[in-house]
Amino acid sequence: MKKLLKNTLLSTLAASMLLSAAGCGKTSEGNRGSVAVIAKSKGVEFWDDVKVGADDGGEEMNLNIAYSAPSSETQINEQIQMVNDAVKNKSKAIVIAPISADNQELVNALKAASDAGINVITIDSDLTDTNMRKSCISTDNDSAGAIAAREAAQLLGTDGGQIAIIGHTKGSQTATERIDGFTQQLTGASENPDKTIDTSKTNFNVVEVQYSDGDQAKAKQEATDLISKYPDLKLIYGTNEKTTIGICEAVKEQGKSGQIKVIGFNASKTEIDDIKNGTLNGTIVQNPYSMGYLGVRVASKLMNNKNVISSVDTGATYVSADNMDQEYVKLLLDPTNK
Amino acid sequence: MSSKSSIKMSVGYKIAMVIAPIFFILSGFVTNFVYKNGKNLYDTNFKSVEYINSINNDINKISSYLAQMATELGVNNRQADMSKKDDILAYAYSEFDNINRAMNSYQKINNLTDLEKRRFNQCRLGIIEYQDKLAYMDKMTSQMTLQELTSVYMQEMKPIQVRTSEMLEAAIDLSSDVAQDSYDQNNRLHNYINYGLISAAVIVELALIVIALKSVKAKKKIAEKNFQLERAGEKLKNSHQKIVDIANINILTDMHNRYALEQDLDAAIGKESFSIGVLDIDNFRSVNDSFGYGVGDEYLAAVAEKLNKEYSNSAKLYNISGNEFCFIFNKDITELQARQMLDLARENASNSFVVSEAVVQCPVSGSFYRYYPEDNLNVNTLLMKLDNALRAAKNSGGNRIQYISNL
Repeated sequence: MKKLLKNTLLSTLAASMLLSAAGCGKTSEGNRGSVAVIAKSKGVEFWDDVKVGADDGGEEMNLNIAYSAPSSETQINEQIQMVNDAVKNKSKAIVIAPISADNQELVNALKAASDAGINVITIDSDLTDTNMRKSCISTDNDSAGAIAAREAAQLLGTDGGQIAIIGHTKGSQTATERIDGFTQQLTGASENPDKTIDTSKTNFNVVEVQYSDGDQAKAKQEATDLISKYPDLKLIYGTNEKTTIGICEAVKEQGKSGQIKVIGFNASKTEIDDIKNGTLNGTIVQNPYSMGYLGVRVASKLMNNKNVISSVDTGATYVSADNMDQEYVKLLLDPTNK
Repeated sequence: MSSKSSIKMSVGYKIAMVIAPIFFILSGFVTNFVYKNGKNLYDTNFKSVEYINSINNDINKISSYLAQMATELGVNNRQADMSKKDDILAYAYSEFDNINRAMNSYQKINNLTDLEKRRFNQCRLGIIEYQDKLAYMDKMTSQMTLQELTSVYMQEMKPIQVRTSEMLEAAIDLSSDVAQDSYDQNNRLHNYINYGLISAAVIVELALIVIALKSVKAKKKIAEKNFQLERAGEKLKNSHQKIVDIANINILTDMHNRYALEQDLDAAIGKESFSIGVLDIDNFRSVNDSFGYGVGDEYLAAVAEKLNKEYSNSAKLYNISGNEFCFIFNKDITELQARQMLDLARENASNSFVVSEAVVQCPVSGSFYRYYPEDNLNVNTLLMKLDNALRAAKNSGGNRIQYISNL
């Protein structure tokens, strides 16, 4: 009897264990597939933040995130290879920050992906042929330029004054838009005839636009030249990280900190330091985390056959000494600080 | 054996009686637990989705107010428009009060997952940024043109709202997924426990059935064993009888032997009176000597057969030694009848017999005694008495019976 009872209890236990064991595998709905996230460059904080956002999205939406980035922003062939790999690896979606908007090989690779049923989503910058992608998650650089201009106007007041601009790469979409948005907002001068021009603030005068090719030393040299060329120069506007740092170096070197205002882009540690020491008045910060996260979210929605917005402006935030201690700014500057 | 099995049965039923109510109570508890758990999960997830939804709706409402303000109002507009601006902002601020309340409530919900908290944090900071921008816009309305105001709205506020709304929707999706997962998990838990209880109940039932079947089987086995035992007993009895027979019966004459006689006398002496007689073939030795032992044996067998045939109904016959026969007469035979029968038997035995083509005839002597319990004899003295009388008959010429007097 004892033995029988023991056997009974054991079999009951075994039966329930078996049942629960059978259930264990079902606790999560399982991985829904792989999403390739292809950035523009390795070793850049901005893209690291994109990866953080993408990884968070993957974790929340049960997607495997295959993140990759070319060795630098000029290595388009590497990026094309990454697209091909994503197709080969049967990714469900490709979230890409295209190095070029119209490089034929890249476009062909993405078209092949799209033809293979893979959803293509662009982040940070778009393709010329927007039919190639389902959605674009990026900063509206035109708006970002305009935000910089409004802050410049605030800094200079109604008196206005001379303003110089150092763009990062001449002809690049982001540089063009950031400069255009800025000048249009500030002076009403724009090459785009569609934009409504307000000519009421003509006391702002953009005296010169130079390009640094994204090179810090070159930006510094140009800023130095501009400072000596225009003694009444009130403000210099730089359109990317390296350019902004170069400008700040020149301003500091010329002893013009605080006198010549500087507005830049992005938020590297050096730039934050320059804000703290008063050389950099403010910087336009994009939201790379949201680009990565929303890129993956849009991919997930497309995988579920849901409608998505064809373009999302993740916005730009002006970060200055006034708001840099705000919680949302801190999170923006360091999205890993959840 | 059978009582042991019934003990087993009763233990089985007792256990069943204990286990059955335990099952009922347990399943009651479990159902209650699962229900409560499910309700908690439902409440948590329902609340979280509800709060986020309301935040999202409010943000969208604010956005539409601001869009209206940005597109309709400007710094140079009339006083009426300015008051309209104040109205719009008052709406927006009151919506923010709602949002802040909902955010506080959301953060007080227990059991939120880390992922939910993380996603909500992104939403919360988007909302704070939006609130900041609203204050900025409020401040700038008096300094900006309609176009600038629109730009601020479109370029700065709208993206925050779109992004935050996306994050809020992601938070809702996440909470819904978590809710679905929790619901599924709860259901699975419920199912497992149910399965567990049911299988346990089934197993216990089966165990009882097995016990019952086993006891039936055991009963059958016992019956079988009893039967076998009986048969073995019978066999034993038979073999014992055989042994007894071998011990009591003379193989040659098929008559009871001296051992049997002593047994019977031992049983009878002191209890009842009976007539006992002895016959002995005179000069039997000469038969063996003349015809051989084979003929002697056959002759003895023939005499025995004759005596058996004639007197076994009236007396129990014994072949107590080679050529000596004893009669214990039945109780219903009187002493006189017994005397006559023994004399007749002596005559019968002394007739000629044909054995192995030889004619054998020997005179027969005998002794007779009527035993009474008060005779104060035992088996040995009685037999000795008879033996002495037989010897006396033989000594006086043989072929006659010596009747022993009781005196």
